[in-house]
Amino acid sequence: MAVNVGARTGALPRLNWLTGYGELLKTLLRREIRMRYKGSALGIVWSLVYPLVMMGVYVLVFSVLWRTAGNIPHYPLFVLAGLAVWGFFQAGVQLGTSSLIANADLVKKVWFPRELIPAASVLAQLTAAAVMFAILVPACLIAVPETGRTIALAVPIFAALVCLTLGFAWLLSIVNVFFRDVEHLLAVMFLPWFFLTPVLYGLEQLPAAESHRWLIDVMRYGNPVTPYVEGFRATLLQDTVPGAGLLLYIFVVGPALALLGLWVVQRYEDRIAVEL
Amino acid sequence: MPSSSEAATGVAPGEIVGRGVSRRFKITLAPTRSLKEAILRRELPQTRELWALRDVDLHVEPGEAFGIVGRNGSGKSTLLKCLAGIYRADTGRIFVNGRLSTFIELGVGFNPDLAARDNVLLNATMLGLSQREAARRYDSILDFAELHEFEDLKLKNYSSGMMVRLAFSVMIQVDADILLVDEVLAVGDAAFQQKCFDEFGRIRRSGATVLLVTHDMGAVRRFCDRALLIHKGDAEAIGDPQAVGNRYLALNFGGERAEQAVQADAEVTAEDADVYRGDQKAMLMNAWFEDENGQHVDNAPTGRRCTFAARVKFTEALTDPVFGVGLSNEADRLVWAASTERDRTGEFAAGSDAVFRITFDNLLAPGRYFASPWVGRHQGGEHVHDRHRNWTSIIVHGQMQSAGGVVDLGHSVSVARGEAAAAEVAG
Repeated sequence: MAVNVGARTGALPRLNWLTGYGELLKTLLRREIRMRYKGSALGIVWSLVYPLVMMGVYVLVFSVLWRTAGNIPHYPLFVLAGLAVWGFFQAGVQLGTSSLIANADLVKKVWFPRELIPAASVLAQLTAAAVMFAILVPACLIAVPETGRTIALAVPIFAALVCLTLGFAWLLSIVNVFFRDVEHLLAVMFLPWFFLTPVLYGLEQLPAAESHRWLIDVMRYGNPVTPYVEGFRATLLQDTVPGAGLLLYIFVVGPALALLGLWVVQRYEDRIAVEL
Repeated sequence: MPSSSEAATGVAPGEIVGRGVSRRFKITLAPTRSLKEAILRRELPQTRELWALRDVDLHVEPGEAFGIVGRNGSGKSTLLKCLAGIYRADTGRIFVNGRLSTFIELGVGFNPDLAARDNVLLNATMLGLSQREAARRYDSILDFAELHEFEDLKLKNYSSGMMVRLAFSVMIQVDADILLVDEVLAVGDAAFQQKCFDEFGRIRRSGATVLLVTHDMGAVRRFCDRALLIHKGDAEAIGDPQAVGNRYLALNFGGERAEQAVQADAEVTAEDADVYRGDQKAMLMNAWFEDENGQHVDNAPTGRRCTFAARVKFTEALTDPVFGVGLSNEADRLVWAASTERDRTGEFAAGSDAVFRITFDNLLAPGRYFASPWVGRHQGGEHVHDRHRNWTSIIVHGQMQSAGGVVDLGHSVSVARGEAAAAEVAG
């Protein structure tokens, strides 16, 4: 095939790497996964230990001792489903952001679409998510059998979450190349962000939900992760289909952000190798 | 590795065309590395422009071995990175047709914590093989690297030589149409180097285009059909590797006069290049020096026996060809030559291989010597099948017994004094 190496900037993000570089993406993924779980006896099981331990702690504090979670049915699963969404998002964004710098060696010496590197970091996180699902889905079906009607919808919602995570990872990985402190800033921001995301609580179950409607809306739509947590939990645990507004948000914002991130990576691709 | 495609008309498979390629870098005098600085700083940071490449044209034919030479910082690696697509050219256009093995360096993407097996498979797919294809070629890769017994060893436990062998083996097994190689020939031990050279020969004969970036002129002379000299971002010379090589040496070491002299010399050489090469009924494949134990060496102590060896491939059946070599010193003066002119060397079938060795008492004074081997016709006088000028070199080191000169001839000194001397003269 003939290539004009000079011309790769376009007005729209290109998706041809999905087909042309599928093998390479698989390779990078395998490398990422191997490295993530190398040398540990339990390997991927570790990715399950953390959310389960955290779930135990939250249940102990909020449900048993503090008794504030009394109005939320199946609180342990409620927390675990939230943690599945948040955990994927946080790990994906964090690893994706530093991925270009971590793979500087590759970027400087081999050419391939740069978007593959953050993408591999994010998608490698899917292995952990799969293990999580293997526990979560049967548990939900046992606890709330009627949820079987809506549980299939959790898959496209999670797919949209993957898009959202990819978008953040692409955008921040580029910014991180130019300003290395983004990585650290992110590490600091994730904890407050976690508490502002309704993982441990439900927005509607908050005592102030009625009196501070506007605040609830800001928290719901101002935080891009919230709709995914709520939508995911609704289909998995509450046997309900999220409202039209929430669904629209979920399926528009995620893919839109992914396309924006992709475009930015492709736009600044040339400068990555120089900056590193 | 396949690249994103855009139609380029008139570029044949394996061909590389660059027209007016320029690349500039902005050098920030006080670089910002943090968000805070970027936000708080009022004026924009001062920058200076540096043209790493200026208006470079090049055209590499399919199947050609093309050398890019230049000093450190001359822009040769920038050019290679532009060709590989790692940098974008600021002006000009580059057309590359074919699967590019974009290996700027060996072993890119190797992970020290993974076993050799995983690294080979990952590396091969990174170079453009499918996973199935990579698995299929896995054995031949390890065979070539001679590392089968270490396949489960983590890479961090490999010696650097083993690592390079592994990386090189992967690179040559992926069957790229175009090989971009940056400074990798100086790897491994002598025996493996020999193997690499042979393999490069095979790749070239299979029709792949090879782009070699180096500052080792010896390698360029041996491998390349043509070469490009880059100096401070400009294409300084392009053409016959010998001529380009001399120009490079002149730029590096010579004053202006030396440069002119070499340039004049180079022009002659370039013109005579075809005549000089002979009829190619026998071809010199490679040449090297050996010590007394038959080990390949690039240096030898003065006063010991030393062997020059060269491998020849016969493209036609020949009777009693003459093998010879001349050694010249750094001043390009022939110091010594030897050949089998008076011997009958026998019959050689078409397609066969032979290695000839010429062993000599190394009486050369310390310094660098260039070997120019040739294969000539029996009683053919000046008629040669193949020859190479200054193809390989050896550094002779040690303490000379003589007081000076270009050779260290064995000698003895006696001094007669006084009357005895007078009597001797009177005799």
